Formats: sequence, structure tokens, C-alpha cells
Amino acid sequence: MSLKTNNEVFTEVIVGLFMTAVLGVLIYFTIIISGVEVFGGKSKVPVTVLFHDVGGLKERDSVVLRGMPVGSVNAMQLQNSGVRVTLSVQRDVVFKEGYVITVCSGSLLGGNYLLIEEGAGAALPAGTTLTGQSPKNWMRDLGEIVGKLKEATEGDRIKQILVNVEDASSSIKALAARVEGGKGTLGKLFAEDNALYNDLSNTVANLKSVTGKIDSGTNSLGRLLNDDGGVYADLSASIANLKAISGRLEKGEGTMGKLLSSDDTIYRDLQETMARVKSVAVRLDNGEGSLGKLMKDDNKVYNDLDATVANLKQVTDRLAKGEGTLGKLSADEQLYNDVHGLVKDVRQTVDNFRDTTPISAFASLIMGGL
Amino acid sequence: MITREPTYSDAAGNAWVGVWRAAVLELGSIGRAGSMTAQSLVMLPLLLATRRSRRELARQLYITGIKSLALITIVGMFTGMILGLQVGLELRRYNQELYIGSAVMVSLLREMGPFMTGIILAACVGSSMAAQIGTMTVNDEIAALEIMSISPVRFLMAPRMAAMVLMTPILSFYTCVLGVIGGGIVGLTQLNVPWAQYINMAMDVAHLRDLYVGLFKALVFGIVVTSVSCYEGFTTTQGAVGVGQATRRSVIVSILLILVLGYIITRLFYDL
Repeated sequence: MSLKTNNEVFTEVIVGLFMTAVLGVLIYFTIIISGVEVFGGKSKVPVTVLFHDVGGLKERDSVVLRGMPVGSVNAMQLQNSGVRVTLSVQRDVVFKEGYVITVCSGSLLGGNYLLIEEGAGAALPAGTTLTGQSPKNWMRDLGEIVGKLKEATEGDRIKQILVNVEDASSSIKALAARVEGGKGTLGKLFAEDNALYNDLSNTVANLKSVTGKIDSGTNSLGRLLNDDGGVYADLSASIANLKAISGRLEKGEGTMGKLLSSDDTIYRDLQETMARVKSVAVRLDNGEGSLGKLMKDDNKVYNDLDATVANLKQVTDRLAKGEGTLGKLSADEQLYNDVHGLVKDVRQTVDNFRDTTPISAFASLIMGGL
Repeated sequence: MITREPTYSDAAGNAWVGVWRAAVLELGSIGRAGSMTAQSLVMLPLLLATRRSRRELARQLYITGIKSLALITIVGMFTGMILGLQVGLELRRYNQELYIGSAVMVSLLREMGPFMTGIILAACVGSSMAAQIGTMTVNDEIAALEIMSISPVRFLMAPRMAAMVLMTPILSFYTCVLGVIGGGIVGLTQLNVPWAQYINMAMDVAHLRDLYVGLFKALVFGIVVTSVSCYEGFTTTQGAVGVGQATRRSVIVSILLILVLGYIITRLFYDL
């Protein structure tokens, strides 16, 4: 075997080696950045996940962590109550307590990927069989919604909805006509007549004036807003007073304080008083006692009093007219004098009788002994 | 010298030696082709130096471009029609056949236009180059040129390289245009896609970047086809049989390199 010692051939071999190497590097890099790992790439470990339903997940689908692909689905196998999925995941992905593994849809047209959330608890030991969450079935959910819609719109309901829409359309049309005709506030706003605009403009001018006064502090509100601290000090003092009052109330001082305090003596006194008032009111209502009888519904006492008053009036009328003995006594002065003289005479007689009584008694004794 | 004696004069002693020699020979072949390609590219400006070389360049441009035009027209048109039909049939399942314009335009600009042009030129022009130069080689015309100190690379390869470098991107663009027209015809007649809508959808997705990448790809394919064909022609041995083998190898290697380089260029310019 002999390779001709030809510099030209040697150069060609070197150039060929270089070109082949360049082509190899290009192929390697274009395949690597395509996502296919020719020489194994990062070290990966198998992870087993149990699903009840994988929702169309397929082998070689991506495994994504925080939006970044970290592995792929290696194998899937049916089990008694679900599907056993074996993943190939980068070694640095650590599953912790609270992890979530979900099958997600890549797009509406299909395609799935497995989304991993590692969790935040303690790290799970390597080789732990994980549990995945079943994916949402879009088509089934959509079917249910359509079914409900169909149920809601069956029979005459659509017709009724259309009638309502038609009515609403008529109302809107009428409303638009009113607006177009310049009726109502909205119509006036759209109308060419600028009265409302002028009113609004004037209102805004007034508001501007008011805010100007407030800003300049020429009215009460302005003074409040522009005060240099006097009102604030007064308010502060008032609040301090209120605070003191509330403190006293809280301590149970004064009548209000006692009313608000936990000591319920006044309350109990009031309760007792109210009970008594209630008892009196019951008795009054039942017509017991003089006041009760007066308040009773039958007018017996009232009638008796009325009759008595009438009699008294009649008596006083007769007295005023000088009728009867008493009337004559009150009206006739001669009779008064006669009676007065009679009384004097009787008094004198009685005095005389009193003076003569011992003599009479002695004479009776003597006369009786005889 | 381009034409020379075999590197090894004796037979290989065992299989491993044979494999080693084959590897060395292949690397040497690759390096030789690469060197020839580099030389021809460097010599391109010299083609404008003399009237004779300019006339030769014009002749090669005519052979490469004009004589391939009929085939390119038919292939380009039917490529677009096939693309439009296949994509349209699939999109019709989703009532989205309006989008065939987008699919045809993107496919042709990025891939199918340069690829089909490269294949056609490899089959038509490349095989012709290999056969012509191979015949010259077996008739010792190349050796005669070298004896007269005329560089075969400058005299034979550089005009062909220049013609391919200039014509391949142009033919690729021509293929794209015809392909889009073909896709539009299929859309109009088979899928009921209005012409204006087809063109609108196609132009919506047509970006200059896609066009430039496609033209660059065509340029590379032109260089590859010329290099492989000329190299095979220059290294032809064993008379008429060798010419046939050189022609066959030139087409096979050209198509393989077009496929591999097409993938690499696409991947380098488009991220996933």
C-alpha cells in the first residue's frame, strides 16, 4: 500500500476533510436546534403518571414546565381504572408536594401537551408514581351548552323572543324618532336648538363661579377649605370634648353613662315603673277605681254628675229668684232681720233657762220629797 | 493537473486497508471538487475580461436558461397545480380551501421553487455538463488544455458556473410564478376559489424574506450542480462507459446534495 507523496493530493484530502466536517457540523446543528437530540442531550429520567383520562394525549407529545419543554411522553398503557403514562423528563425537574400535572390542548384544531406545576411542598422521592388531572373535554362541554340553548329556545320561545326583539326594535325606532324630533332631554341635546346647551353652559358658568368663590374663600365652604387651621383646631377641640364625653359614658359616669353602663339598676327601676304603669293602665282600662269608672265607656257617672249639676243650677236659679225659704232668706232683708232677731231671742231664752236650771232642779227635789 | 493517474497503484492488502483507501479517496474527491468550485468562483470576474469569454458566458446562459425554459415552465406549472390540489383537497374538509393561495405561495417561495429548479437543472444541464466534459476528458482534450497551460477550470467550468449562478435564481423565481399561476388555475376550476381571492391570499403571506431565502437556496443549488457535474466530468475514466457513469453520478450526487443543503438552509433561516 502506498499513497503517492503528492502535495496536491494531500491538500485535496485536507480540503475534503474540512468540507465534510463543515457539512457534518451544519447537519448536527440544524438537527439539534430542531429539537431532536442526536447525542442524547440533557440527562433525562423516567417519570410515571397515572391518569383517569388522557384526553387524546399521544406518545412523543411535549412535557412543559413553566412554558418550557422539559421532556416528552414516552409510553402510554391502559390500566384497570385509567392510563399509565411514562414520561421522559429532565433530571433537574423535581416534583414536590402540591404538584399538578394536566393534559392541555395546544390549539382548537388539536394537539396536546402535558403541563407540569412542580408544587411548593417537600420534594417527593425519586420514582414516586404521580397522579395527573383529567383534561377538560371542550367538545362535551360545548355540547352541553348547545343542548341547554336548544332546550331554552324550543317551542314558541324563539317566536316569543323574535316578537320581543321586534317590539324592542319598534321602541327604539320610536325613541330615535323622538330624539330626531328634538323631544325630551336627549332630543333637545341633539336638536339644533341650543337652549339646553345654553342652560348647560350657564350651569357650568355658575359652577365655575361657585368653585371660584370656594377657591377664594369668600363663603362658608370656601372658608372651610381655605382656613388656615382655626376651624381645624375647633374641630379638634370638639372631637376632644366628644372623646371625653364618650370616655365618661364608657366609664358609666352621669345619667347617660349609667344608662349605657353594665350596671342595670336604672333599667330595672324603669322596668318596674313601667310594670306599675301598665298595671294602673290595666285597672283604668277595666274601669276599676274612681278614675277607671270615670273613664269607663258607660256614662253613668257622667250622667249622674250632669243631673246633679242640673239640679244645682235649678236650685241656684230659684235662690237667685228668691223663691223658697232659702231664696227668700237670700233675697229678703226683712226676713233676714226677723230671723236674726229670732235667733237673738232664742239665745237669750236659752241663757235665761241656763240661769234658772239649778233653782228649778232644787225646787223639783223638794217638791218631789214632799 | 485535473486529470491524473490513480492515487494508489497497487491493490489493497485487506478489507480495512480498502476502507481506509476509499475514505482517503473520497475525502480527496470532495476536497478536489471544493477546490475546483472555489477556483471557478474566483475566476468569475475574469469572464468579463475578454470578448471570447463573454461570448462563451452568453452561450452558457442560453444553454442553461433558455433551453431549460420549456421544461421549467411545465414542471413549475404542474408543481403549483399539484400543491394547490393536494392542499385544497385537505383544506376542503374544513371549508378552508380559500387558503390554498397562502399554502402554494409559501411552499413555492421557500422550498418547492428552488428545489424543483435545482432538480431540473441537475437532470438537464448538469448531466449535459458531466457528459460533455467527461467525453473531453476521455478523449484527452482536458489533458491537452493543461499541456497548453490553459486552465480547464477557467476555460470550461467558470463559464458554466457563472451561467448557473446567474440563471438558477432567475429560473427559481420563474418557477414560483408559474407554480402560483398553476395553483390558481386549480383553485379556480376545481375548488371554486375566485382568482382575485386566491391572489390576495397568496400575496398576503408572501414576504421578501421568503423570496430572498428561496433565491439564495437556488444560488447554492446552482453552484452545487455545476461543481458536481464538472467534477464528475473532469474525473471521468474508462471511455464511453465512464462517461455514462459520470453522468449518472452527477445527477445522483447533485440531487442528494440539493436535498441535504435545502434542509440545512431552511433550518438555518427559519426558527421553530
